[in-house]
Amino acid sequence: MQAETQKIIQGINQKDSKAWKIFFESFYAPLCQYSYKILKDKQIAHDVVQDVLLSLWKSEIIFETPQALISYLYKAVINNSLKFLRNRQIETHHLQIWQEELSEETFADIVKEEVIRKLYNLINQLPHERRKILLMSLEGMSGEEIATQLGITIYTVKQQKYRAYKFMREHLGIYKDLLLSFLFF
Amino acid sequence: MLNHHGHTIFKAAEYVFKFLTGQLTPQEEAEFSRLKKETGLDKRWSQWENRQAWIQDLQETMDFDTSAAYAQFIQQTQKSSKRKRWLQIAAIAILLITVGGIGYYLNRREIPNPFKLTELIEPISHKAYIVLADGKKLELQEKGENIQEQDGTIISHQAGQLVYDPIEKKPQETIYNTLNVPRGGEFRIVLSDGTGIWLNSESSLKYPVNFTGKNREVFLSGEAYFEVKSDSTRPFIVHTSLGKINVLGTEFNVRDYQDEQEVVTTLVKGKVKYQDNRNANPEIVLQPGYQVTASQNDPELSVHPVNLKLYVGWKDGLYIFRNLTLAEIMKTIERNYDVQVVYTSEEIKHLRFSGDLKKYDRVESFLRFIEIGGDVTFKIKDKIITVTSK
Repeated sequence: MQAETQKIIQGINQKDSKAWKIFFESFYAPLCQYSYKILKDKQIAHDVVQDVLLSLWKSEIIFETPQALISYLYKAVINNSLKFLRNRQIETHHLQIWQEELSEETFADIVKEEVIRKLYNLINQLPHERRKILLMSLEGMSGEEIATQLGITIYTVKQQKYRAYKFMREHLGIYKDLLLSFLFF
Repeated sequence: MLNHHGHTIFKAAEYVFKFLTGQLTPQEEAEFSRLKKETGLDKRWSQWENRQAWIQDLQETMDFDTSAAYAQFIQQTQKSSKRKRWLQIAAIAILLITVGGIGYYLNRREIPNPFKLTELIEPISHKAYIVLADGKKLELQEKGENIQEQDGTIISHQAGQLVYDPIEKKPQETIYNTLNVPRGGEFRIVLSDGTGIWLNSESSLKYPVNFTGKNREVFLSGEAYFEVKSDSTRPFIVHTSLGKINVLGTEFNVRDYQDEQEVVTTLVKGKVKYQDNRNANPEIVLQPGYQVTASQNDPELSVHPVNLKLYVGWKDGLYIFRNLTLAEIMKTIERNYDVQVVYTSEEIKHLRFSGDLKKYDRVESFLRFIEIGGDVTFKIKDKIITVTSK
């Protein structure tokens, strides 16, 4: 796992297209979500994140560790989101001066987003149909409703749901039922 | 590193994640409650214990269409790399003008143009490189030369094929070669026991130069078709990322691409046994015409009868796609033609198509065929295929 992470970091530094695809897929949406919390506008959040990723791609910054990369991303997304607000004068937020020491508020916000990112990447490892069924059931749809909407049998819905749980369980170690009750109560 | 009061966001996020998934040990719990107090996270805690809120955030995150964003990103990077390329051309041009005056008289050879003006997507070719026992890498060109290994084995190389001639005296030590086939490549190899193997694009195989042990063992990543020479005294074993395949003498196909997270073994002739490496250790004996799938996300093996042509056709140059998602089909295209595919929306990836692709044909005609029958259009530029819905 460690070697794998190192390889991806290296690939990101060298602008390798395969590494960048993996990187993009795992960070784009969580960063958008984070920017969206500040901006309250999905389209602008997307623009901000896209800009941050593009300028990273064009830059020659080298990251030694995944932590350094993630820190950079959060800093850049917050800064650019706030800059946008300031330019538009939507709010009188002052631009944060970045220090390694965060305010209590920002610290909590970023910690939360990191947790969301972990959950997001876990669910994204499920095959497409299984993930879709899982999300629909998270939205509170019944097995029957899901079956009708996707045009599959209720038996398939049940089976796919079962397999999705099993996967989550295996990736989360022994105290599985707690997560299941959390995600799928 | 981003921190507050001496605690990094990473440690804190790890604790919160473990808390939510019930994985905190009692010791970690103590550390976590200290961290919460010191960083002020405890002020949020009542909010964070509401799990419904996490689900809502998670769902909001899922609403951002990563595929579409990625397609847009790729387009933008292309634009800027083109600008960069022009800058390079300009820089070189200036260099050539200044140096050229002097150089012209010193060396009258023509300077080749280093920039391709048009780019065609090349159909598959015989390209590969081999890592010899001493670690030396050798590129295998279209026109081959024989190679001699350190134990005296002669490896004859001709257009897209390597053949190992066994040596008379059994060597004591087992030495290995690794054959790597990149995207857009394909290669055939005949091992010293006479076993024939077709190695598909983006695949690699590690094997002994001479089989010295009790078993004949090889290591595969990617896809290969095996025609194993029968030898009941020495079983042939293919190691994959999730398990191994034991055979005596048969023909079968193994597909184990890392990004597909599964190992698919399809049996054409004879008998093979698939044995999983993981905890439950399931194993299965396959009959001809059957296929076993071991998935990273599922500890149970699944077995079905299949239409063999769909899975082994590639070795004879024909991909047959039947009711597959566009994402599945395009993955094969990416590997075989060394291109990158991007989608302008997540939904397109899951549309289903059927069609036949002749491996050595240009990919464009296949894409036009899919376009006519479906709701998508393809744009090809700089080895990137962008898929849009009509």
